[in-house]
Amino acid sequence: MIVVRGICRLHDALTDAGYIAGALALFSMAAIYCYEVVTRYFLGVATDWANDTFSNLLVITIFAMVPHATRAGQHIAISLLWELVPSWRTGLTILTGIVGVLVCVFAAWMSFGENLRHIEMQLVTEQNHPLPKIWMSAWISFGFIGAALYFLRGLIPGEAVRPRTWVTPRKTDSLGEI
Amino acid sequence: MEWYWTLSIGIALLVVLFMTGAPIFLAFLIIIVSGVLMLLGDSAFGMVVNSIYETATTASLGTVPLFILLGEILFRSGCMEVLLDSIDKLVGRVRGRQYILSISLSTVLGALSGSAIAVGAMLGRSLLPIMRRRGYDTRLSIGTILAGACLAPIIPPSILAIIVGTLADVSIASLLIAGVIPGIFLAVLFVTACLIKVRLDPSLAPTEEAGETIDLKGKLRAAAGLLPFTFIIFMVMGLIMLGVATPSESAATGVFGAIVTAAYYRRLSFRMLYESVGEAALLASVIMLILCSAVMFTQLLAFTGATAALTEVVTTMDVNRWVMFFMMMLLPFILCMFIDQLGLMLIVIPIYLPILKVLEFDPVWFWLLFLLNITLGAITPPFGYVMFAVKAAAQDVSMGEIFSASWLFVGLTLFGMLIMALFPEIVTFLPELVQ
Repeated sequence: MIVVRGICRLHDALTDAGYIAGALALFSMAAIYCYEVVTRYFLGVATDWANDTFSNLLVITIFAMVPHATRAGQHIAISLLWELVPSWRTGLTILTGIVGVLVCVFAAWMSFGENLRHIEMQLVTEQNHPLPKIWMSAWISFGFIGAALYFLRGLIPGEAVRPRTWVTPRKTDSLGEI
Repeated sequence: MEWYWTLSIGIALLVVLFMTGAPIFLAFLIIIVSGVLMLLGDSAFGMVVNSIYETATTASLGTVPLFILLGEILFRSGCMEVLLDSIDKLVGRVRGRQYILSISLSTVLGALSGSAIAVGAMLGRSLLPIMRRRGYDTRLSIGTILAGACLAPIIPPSILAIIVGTLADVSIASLLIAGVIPGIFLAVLFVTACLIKVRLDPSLAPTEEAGETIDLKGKLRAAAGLLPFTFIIFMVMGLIMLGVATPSESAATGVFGAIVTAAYYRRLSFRMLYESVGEAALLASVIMLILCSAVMFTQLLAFTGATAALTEVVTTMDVNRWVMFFMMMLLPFILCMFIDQLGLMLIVIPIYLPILKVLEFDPVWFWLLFLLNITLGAITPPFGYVMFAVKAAAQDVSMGEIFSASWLFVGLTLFGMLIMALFPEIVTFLPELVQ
């Protein structure tokens, strides 16, 4: 049980690190484009790295946050059937959890295969300042494997596997979903 | 297997998976992986990952998290309270003023958040109890909240407009700008209808409301309170219209404008900023994950040959293009009563794209009406989910009251859409002016 608890805490810590990475990436995206507008229109010098960096940060924002989104149960879903037939709720939750584990593990496996290919072939991005593609594509695997583990932990009862967080703010009102 | 069977089975499976309550991205991934395996074999799995990677590094989609961040900063900093207070003072003491306030607020909040459900829930919790306490008619009060909320996806900055623009390959800047006049037009239509209703039936609004009378100085101060928000609007729409920034860049400058506004009202703090950025990244992540899956779904549709076959069917059909237009609007209107608008958009757009090319409608005009239409589904009984958001916020109001509240505004929106269909310039004037 101690080993399971330890793995779960490590998983939570990595998810928190992903949360911080995603938040930093988003803030950097805003800062970079503001800098780009200022330099292009006020100083007359356009950068040749802003667009590329912006794109690279976008993939980090999306996939670094996926494990946390799963931990927080924030994925967008249609709860119509749950509301119409409340007695099915438990069954559908378990079904969703199992499907979540299977699909995310499979997606992580596909992504990991691509990661290995990127490393073996030393692929770089098609940008003004090429970067190893693995630096970005690894986040996709990170997102799916982290999400798969949370779907799995959601299926197992017990204190040891209950998700924890140390850095995310308490849930308050926000824009919610679109 | 014939293309129509592949298409029908694929979409039916997707809808069934949606209905089970599984996250939308999982539903898409199941269909995609099964489809790829059946059509192309396991050697094509790398293609799925590369498609996800390509979508996740599309710079124009970076606008989505940035607009969400803009809204989060304004909400979490408490700047919205200033906005509410200022609009309240400016509306004046007209009979039925709270209806005007409700429509104005939900329109402005919708514009700033781009989220119909958020506006419905927020005003259902904050403004609705006040209106009911002051003696305003519950149904009409709810109706005004629902009506204003349904404008959120068309008034810029609209996240759904960016998603449509990206998937339908339409200029995002044009789509964003195109929503301005229709949004204001519909808001004015709603306000006029409320005032006429109050005139015809005075019992819908109390004669005199308690509270201070605002003099001219107070109104000027209230107008000055709105100035920082016009700065944000300028940083987003102004910079696009002046050709200074692209939509993605204007979203970033809008974020800067929101930070400056929060600082102006002395509500800027590291904690607020940290929470806003984290929450915005989280929301953006769940939306973009669905988008990444949906783009691959579009590509898969093309692989099945369904897209090309559908185009051929439409081109050989002897149906009036306006009948087709009506059908293309009716389908999402009905489906959006049951299905999440984002999920529906992602299914319908790839199917509509080739048809739209054949019918030769103005894409900006068509997609704007489409956007309005899918939100209308969200306030139409019996399954419109913005109504459920209002219900969740106002537990003691019956679902029946909420249903009956919406019909007037559903009718008004349909009337507005008819006017926009007959006079496309209402939609296309601003985008053409900017071009």
